[in-house]
Amino acid sequence: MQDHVPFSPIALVGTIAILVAYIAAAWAFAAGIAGNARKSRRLVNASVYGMYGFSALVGLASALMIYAFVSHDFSIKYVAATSDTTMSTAYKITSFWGGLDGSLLFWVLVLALFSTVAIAVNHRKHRDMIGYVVAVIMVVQVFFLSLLIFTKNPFNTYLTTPPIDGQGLNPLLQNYWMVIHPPSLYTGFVAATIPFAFGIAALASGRLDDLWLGSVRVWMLICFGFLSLGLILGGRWAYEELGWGGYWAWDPVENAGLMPWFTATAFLHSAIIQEQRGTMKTWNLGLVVMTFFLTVFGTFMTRSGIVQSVHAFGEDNVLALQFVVFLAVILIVSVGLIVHRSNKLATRTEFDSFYSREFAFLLNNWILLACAFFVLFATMFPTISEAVNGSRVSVGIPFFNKWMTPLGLILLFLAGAAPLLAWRKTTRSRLKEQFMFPLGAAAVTIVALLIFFPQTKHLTSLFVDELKLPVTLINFGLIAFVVGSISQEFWRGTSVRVRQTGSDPITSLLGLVLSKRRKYGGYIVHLGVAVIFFGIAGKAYEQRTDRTLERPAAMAQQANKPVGESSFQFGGYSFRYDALSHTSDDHKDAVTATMTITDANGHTLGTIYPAKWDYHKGEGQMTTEVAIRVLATEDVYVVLTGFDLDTGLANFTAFINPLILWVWIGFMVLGFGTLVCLIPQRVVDRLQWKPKTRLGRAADVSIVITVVCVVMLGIASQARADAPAGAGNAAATEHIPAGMGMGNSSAGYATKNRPNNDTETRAMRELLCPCGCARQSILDCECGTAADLRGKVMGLMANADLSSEASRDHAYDAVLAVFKADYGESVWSTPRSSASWLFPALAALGGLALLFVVGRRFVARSSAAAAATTAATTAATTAAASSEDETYADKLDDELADTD
Amino acid sequence: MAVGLLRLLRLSTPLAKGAVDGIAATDDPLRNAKLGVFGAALVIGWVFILWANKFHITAPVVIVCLGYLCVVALVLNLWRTGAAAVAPDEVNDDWGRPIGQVGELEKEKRTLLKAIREAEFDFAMRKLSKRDAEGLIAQYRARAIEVIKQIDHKDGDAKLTVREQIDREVKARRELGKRGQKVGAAVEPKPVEPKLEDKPEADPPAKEAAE
Repeated sequence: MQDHVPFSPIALVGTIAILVAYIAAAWAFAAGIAGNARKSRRLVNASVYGMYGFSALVGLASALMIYAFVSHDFSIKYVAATSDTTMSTAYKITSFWGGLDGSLLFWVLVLALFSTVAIAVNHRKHRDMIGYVVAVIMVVQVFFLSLLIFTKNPFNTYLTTPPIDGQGLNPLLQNYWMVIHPPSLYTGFVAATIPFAFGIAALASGRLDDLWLGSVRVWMLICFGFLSLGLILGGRWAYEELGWGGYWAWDPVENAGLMPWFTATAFLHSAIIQEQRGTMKTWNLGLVVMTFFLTVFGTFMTRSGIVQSVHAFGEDNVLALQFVVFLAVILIVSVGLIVHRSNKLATRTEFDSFYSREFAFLLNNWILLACAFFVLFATMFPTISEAVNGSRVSVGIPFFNKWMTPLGLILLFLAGAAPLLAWRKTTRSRLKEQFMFPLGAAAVTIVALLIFFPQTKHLTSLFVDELKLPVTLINFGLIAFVVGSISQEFWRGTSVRVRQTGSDPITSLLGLVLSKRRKYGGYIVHLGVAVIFFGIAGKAYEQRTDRTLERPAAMAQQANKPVGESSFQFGGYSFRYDALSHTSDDHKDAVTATMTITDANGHTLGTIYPAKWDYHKGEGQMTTEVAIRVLATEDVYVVLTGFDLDTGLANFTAFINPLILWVWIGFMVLGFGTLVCLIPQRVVDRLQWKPKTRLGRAADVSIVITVVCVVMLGIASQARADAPAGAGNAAATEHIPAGMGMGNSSAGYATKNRPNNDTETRAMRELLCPCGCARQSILDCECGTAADLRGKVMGLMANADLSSEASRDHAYDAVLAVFKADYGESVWSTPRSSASWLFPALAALGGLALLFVVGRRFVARSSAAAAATTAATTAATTAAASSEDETYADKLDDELADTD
Repeated sequence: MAVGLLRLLRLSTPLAKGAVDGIAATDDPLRNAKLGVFGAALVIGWVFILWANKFHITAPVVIVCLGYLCVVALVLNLWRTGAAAVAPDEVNDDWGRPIGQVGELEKEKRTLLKAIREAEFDFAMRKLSKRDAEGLIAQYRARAIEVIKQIDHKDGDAKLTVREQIDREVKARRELGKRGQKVGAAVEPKPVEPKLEDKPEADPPAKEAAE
């Protein structure tokens, strides 16, 4: 029998589209460069239209790829590898970016769409540099297209008979958050290309005035917004899908999105200094370049396999080499152009005082850059260590937390302090007046917490184990400080506007926000950050328990066993295990536990359904479907960690996660603030309607506030507490008798060998599981290996003296030493090498010292120039005093009257 | 055939010429007709796709429609690219100033007006002391007046003949010379008083001066 050689017209046309797009990109690049260099309109226009044509080609290729997914064209290898016929249409479309090859095409598509919009909006304003902008974007596109054409063509077909059905998408990616999380993160990454293109174009054309800055700032804000959205959605996905009770694990893929977020945020602040004071041009261009560099570096990290991660794409040396070359080109060209234009970029930076908003922004820039470089360093440290010493170390959550917590707290303080400072200089009396209320709010909060919640005095290690501070208490104090500061800003701003316009407070507040969107939108973002910190603070008080229940309540009754054996008490709640059911559909088998939660007063809070799903195409990889009961103060989070269908035995891990809801709400506030900053002036002009009556106006505002609150709460309280498929949707599923299909699933491992004391918990948290679960500690990992290792820790500590602090530390160190001898240094989550703390410490302290030394110089320079400035001002006012100028002064006053 | 295509593209050059100030050139008489042709091609194609699928809208049908949109956009932009590439080039001194000199001055004026308002607002919010606010506002006002003057002169220049512009320049230089002599004579200047309408309670000037 002769093998049928498959032919896919979709693959053929898709490949041709990519090849033609390559030619179109080369044309747009060449025409753009030549057009702006020769000041030729026709060539610049040709490059712009060429770029639009390129976008259409990429759109066509992407449409063909999605069509291949929805029409099950399994002759295309990528389609067969990442989808199957039983998947829903939404997940088939998600498969487009679910694998490496498709994600690269998706990147090109998103950049094509973004660049089309960016060029269409800006070509008129920046025609002197738009050719260069197109050229830079096309260079980036050509790089990714090269990867597609030469290494990772998603349209590659089988040379022999294709499979009848595909292998299906990774079960972990079949989650509704995963449908929107990668696109938003990619959009954030891609949006950083536009500011980079404008920055390089400004350098190439020599137009380094502030004109380009406005456009760049908007695109950086979009980049910031989408990166924030991508990061928070990733956190939500991890919270619901991975079943470890947390939402952030400093995984390299998460860090890849966080690093450019830090530099983008730094740019958004320092760009204001350039606009206000005309300084820091080189610094801002550096931040634009750095943000783009970090987006490409993050992509390189997750796609080349140089770091180990839960959801990286695997090792690929060829791809890694191509990325390294591209990163080198970015650096060489950017630095070269900045050096070439250094004379035009040179500005005389001077600050009037340390107590000024610009210095607070500079400090904020230092902290944000320190965060970005620390995350970069710590993420790459295992790879660097392997390259230098030959041994790979691990960097776990505790190490990141020790460094990032203090940096985060300083940022939080600045989020409240900077809005209180004036540009140039805040005098001491003004400083006192501005800070009094926020500091008072912080002091009252701290005192109240000490009295009513003494557990907030809990000490946490910062930087090193020896340095311990009541971090939670400080955090809550700073949150109160930020909320106080921002509230005061809104209150005073509204009061001033009421006095200036004579309108009512609600109208004045809306007018204030709409007329100063960037400023007050930024304040809302700060408020969102404070709310997120409020949610994060709850993590310190997380409670966890692992329980094994022999049988559900119904089976216990049948067997005349006490029903009490089917329930447990934890965290002030009672959990009753009611049933265990097994259902199956075309796509997966599901084992679902039914559990009823009651509070301390005996009130039933509801029924939850923690489950395990086994996708038929998942190669035995079961997914955890957690059940979450969302309350304003805490989440009750239950995971089914193991089960035995024959006996009805089930293992549960329950978490009480205080305040976690506020992390999601905080993000909503942050997103709302970002949107306020992005409102165009045209929209504001249209919104300036004259309201009918005061009552009508109040009703309008109430409706808006209600809608925003409902949307925020609705989205924030989403929870995976699905009823078992068989119960609610019997037609779609088939009930399987106990014991059929799935059998036991890791029954008992998560609950086996749980720690008996704090020292054991500390050691288990510090030791990483070597089972391949990617950086989970043996305390959290649900596998059998982790259970055995926990037993080993308990065995080692069984005869240890734990009576004093010193003896507990000794026992802890002894356990760690034994594990290092058995598994190598990579079993520790905190690297002990001096380089691991020396470099970040030197960088952070060196940066701080440099900041103050340079700051003093700037301030001194400013003082020296003060006399000259005063003289200039006097001269200017003198000049303005002539009769001709009095006419102009009147004209100016007229124009000022029309300025909001 | 190539020559024919080139001629056809050259016929479209008004579209390309006008595209400097906007992709849609207003001086192209055939613009609407061209867009109409592409719009009609798009709609006809979509209707055909739907008809072929018996107007049963499914995910594949929607994606095919989007793919067809890409094809139409591709043809349109390839056409425009060709038309722009063969269009005659023009030498324009304003190339380096997309919004023009007056536009740049207007932009600076708007920035200064907002800066004055912002300083007044900061003073009313009790962030700036009276002395600092007055100093800042005086600087911004002086520069704003200079900018308004320049805008007026530029606007005036556009309406004057070359002869009138030269006369005006000579007169302005003479004025400047006289004023320089006056300033040299150290006459006590009369500074412009910034207008701070919304004054909070009096500052402690001595204390702030000491700081």
